[in-house]
Amino acid sequence: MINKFKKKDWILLLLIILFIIIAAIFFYTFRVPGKFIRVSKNNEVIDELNLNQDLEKTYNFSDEENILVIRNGSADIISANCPNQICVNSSPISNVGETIACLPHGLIFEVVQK
Amino acid sequence: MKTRRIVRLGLFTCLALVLSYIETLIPNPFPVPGAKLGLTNIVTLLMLQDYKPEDILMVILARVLLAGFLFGSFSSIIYSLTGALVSFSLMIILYRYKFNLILISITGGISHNLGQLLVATLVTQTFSLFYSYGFYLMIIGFLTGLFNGLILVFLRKYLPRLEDGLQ
Repeated sequence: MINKFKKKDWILLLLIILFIIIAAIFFYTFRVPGKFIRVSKNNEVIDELNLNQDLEKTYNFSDEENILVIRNGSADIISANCPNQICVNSSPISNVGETIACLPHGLIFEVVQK
Repeated sequence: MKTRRIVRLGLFTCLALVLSYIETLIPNPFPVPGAKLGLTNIVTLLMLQDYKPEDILMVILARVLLAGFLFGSFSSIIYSLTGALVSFSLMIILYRYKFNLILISITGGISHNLGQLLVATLVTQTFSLFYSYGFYLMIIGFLTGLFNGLILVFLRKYLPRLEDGLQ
């Protein structure tokens, strides 16, 4: 039967996991550090900040507040008054394509190349 | 026999289209653009056991084109077409060698995402895309593949295989 797990299936599973691990190492070593952080609110770009200079900035929209900190080329949200706190708990971002999203406030912080 | 084949392939195309539509109703559950559950892959897997590769290919092509025109855009057709073709060719090879269906589904999920990502990288010329999303898309492909494979195994209990020899 095709649904039984045979010896060669274990080998294939092992190969898949090995492939993922090797690819992960590959991706990890080839990451591209980003130059800018792009802030968008409800899909509209509202701000672009240089990642190379340290700063702290507060984004205030009516009652919604997010505090962004840029330090040593990486960006992090240190405080926000959103209900789920996912953005605060997200780890700092520094490589191209990494994002921090605060969906309750419609805010997205993304690292970009240019 | 010929009419029956046409009807069945049409029904499978329809089923795949409906699943594509359902997918557009579910908000993207992953924080990575382009990641989907890939429910339509269930149809491909379902057909894998009973139909000839060229029949399955026809259903895949019809599904990708129709779904692209109905719910997507031109670029989404290119992405899903490459993903679908890459994963289908891999799955058909694995099926030939009688590998476990869940593993076939997992391989399909991963290869679909990687093929799609490769095209997206080439089209947009942003190579950082590959490095930043590759790992997540592989993990997501693994999980969605596992999910679809399990659905298929449960489905098979209630949906017996064809016995009138369409092969």
